[in-house]
Amino acid sequence: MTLRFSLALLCCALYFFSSGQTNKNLPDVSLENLSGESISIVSQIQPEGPTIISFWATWCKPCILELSEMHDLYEDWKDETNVKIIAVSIDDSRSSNKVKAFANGRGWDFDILLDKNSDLKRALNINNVPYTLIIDPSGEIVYERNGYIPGDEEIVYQRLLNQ
Amino acid sequence: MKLLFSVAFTLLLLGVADAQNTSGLGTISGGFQSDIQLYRNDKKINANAPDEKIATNNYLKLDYSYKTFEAGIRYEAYLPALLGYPEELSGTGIVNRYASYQNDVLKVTAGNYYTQFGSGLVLRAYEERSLGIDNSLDGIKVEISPIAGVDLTGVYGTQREFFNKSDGIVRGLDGNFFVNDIFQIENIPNIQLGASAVSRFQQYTGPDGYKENIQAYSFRMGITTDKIDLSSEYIEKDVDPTIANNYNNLRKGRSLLVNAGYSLKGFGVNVTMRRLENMDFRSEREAENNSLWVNYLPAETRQHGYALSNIYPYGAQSLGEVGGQMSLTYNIKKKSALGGKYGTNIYLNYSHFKSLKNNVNPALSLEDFNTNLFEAGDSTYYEDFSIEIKRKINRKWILTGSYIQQEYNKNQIEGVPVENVKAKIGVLESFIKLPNRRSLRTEIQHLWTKQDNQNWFAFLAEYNVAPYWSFFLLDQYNYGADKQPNYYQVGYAYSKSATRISMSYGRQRGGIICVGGVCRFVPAASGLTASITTSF
Repeated sequence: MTLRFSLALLCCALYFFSSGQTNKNLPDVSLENLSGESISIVSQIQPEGPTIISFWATWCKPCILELSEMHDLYEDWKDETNVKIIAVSIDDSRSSNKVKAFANGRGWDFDILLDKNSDLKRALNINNVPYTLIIDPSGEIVYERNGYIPGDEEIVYQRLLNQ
Repeated sequence: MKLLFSVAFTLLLLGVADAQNTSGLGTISGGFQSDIQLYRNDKKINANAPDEKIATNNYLKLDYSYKTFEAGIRYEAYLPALLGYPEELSGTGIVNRYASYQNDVLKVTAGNYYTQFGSGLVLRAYEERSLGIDNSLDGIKVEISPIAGVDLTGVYGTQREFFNKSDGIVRGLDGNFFVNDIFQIENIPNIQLGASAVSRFQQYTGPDGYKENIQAYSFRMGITTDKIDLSSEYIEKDVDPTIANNYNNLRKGRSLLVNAGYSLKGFGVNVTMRRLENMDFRSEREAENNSLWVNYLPAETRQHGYALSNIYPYGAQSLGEVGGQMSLTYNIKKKSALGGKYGTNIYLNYSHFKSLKNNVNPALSLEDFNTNLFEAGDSTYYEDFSIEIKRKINRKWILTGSYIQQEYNKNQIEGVPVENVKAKIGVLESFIKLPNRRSLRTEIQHLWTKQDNQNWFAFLAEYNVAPYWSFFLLDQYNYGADKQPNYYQVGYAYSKSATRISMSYGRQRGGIICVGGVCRFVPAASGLTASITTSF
């Protein structure tokens, strides 16, 4: 019984998995900037080029590895693909106060937004971080990545070149 | 019957999901997560397989959106729940459904919703699956932004209690005011003011005259410039006899949170102080453990990333604690004598939490024992010092060294009457990029302590093949303990676009696991674990 049900759910998941990428738009959710003001995520999507949204947290080691790699590449990427990177922190009130010092201390140039109660994460049905998306100027999600494996940034770069 | 329903439901979802290909009718999106464990008996680590050898937690969410309208449902199935989850999480059902409408000024949500006022000390409805927590409110939420710089929220609802609802009703109002936006002033620091009022109603028919309405208020202020952040929040809450204080509460609840940060490129420092006093706030007097919290009291300590530094985690003491945390990040410049060719990053963190001044349960004392809000008592609940130095040696190799020192009041946190555990932990982590998008990450960890279960040694190796595969091997060896258990684990993860599938085999250490400083106890377990997450 348990097993059969699990299999049914698994099939369900595989069905969606196999059906491939769907045309999904970025939902409009309010986040906070580092001054505490509400900012609509859709208003942050740039019309001039692709936008990367990378979900992270100060306690998530693979997230920090991914953002550190992208930090090293960001200047080149901006020149070549006109990309803008938004790092959305899902730190809740335990650690959201530390985000600004944490990001500045590492010299990160990304736009940083706070998703303190996981509203955007939930709207996008993201289960865990890191999670990275590329949004085209029309607001459509053209690339999604669940997790981070070192080297993924090269694939992200290829996708940016194809935009 | 259940099976029939499940299959029918799955088919329905598939049918609905197909509709997303039809344009003009709105879009459907969703997410799915399934965690499966196969248990076996393992005497060496005191792991007893339950009667049901297979346990599985499943979550399926579907959202529909059409222009400014949105609706969704979430279905959960615990068949049965994984070991360590609350036993009330058993069976299947639709646990969340909502519909919302929004325009530029207004957003209205009916059904289940999540929300947070201020830092959450007065109200936070949230979901944390890994702990089995979902205290979403079921009712109505209205958010209005009448003019630039003003955000108002009103909520009314009952909290989710596993597959049921709480007996209590939660009502709340919240306002945030951005002074610079309201008066359109620039060139001065950003000033933010906020206030909330939250009330819980629960009927009372007993002889002791407990109040049915419990009120709590929050007042907030924040000042921000490019470099400086100052913020504070003060909470006051009515006298509230509940099971948490043995129905013997005579004092109001109070909390003060103060945060100060300063940062510029390459340097950041942040200091937080917090006092909690009678801040256990639930939507039912009888609620225990992690259920029906109205507010959110995270541990104001560092959330560590290594296996051994998470053996002694802190959980906030809602009845009374006082303390603070400091963290500092410094980037030594590239191409400097100390920084090396690629730069070096230093991270320091210190936190210390103690009992309140008179060192007795504040719930039981009537005297006005403390006038200074940050004056501490004698008993240390938790102390944590850590330093982490990360250096990029060359283009392919990053080395990270950490030293962590902790003091853990096991008596206060777990209720085990022993002396405080003092632990020292050392970690050396190496990350090497290999050709063809491969990489190897290794960790060597050691924990020294004379108390509790004594010393631990841990080793982790993770081999990654981008973009799809990751393999790992983790061993935690408690060589100081009587039984000298060896917690080995091997596993892999496969991920492609929005989907991740992982599987591992081995032993899981029993103990307290914490996410965001909220903790639950999990028993030791042995066997096979599989997990799939996807969104569509």
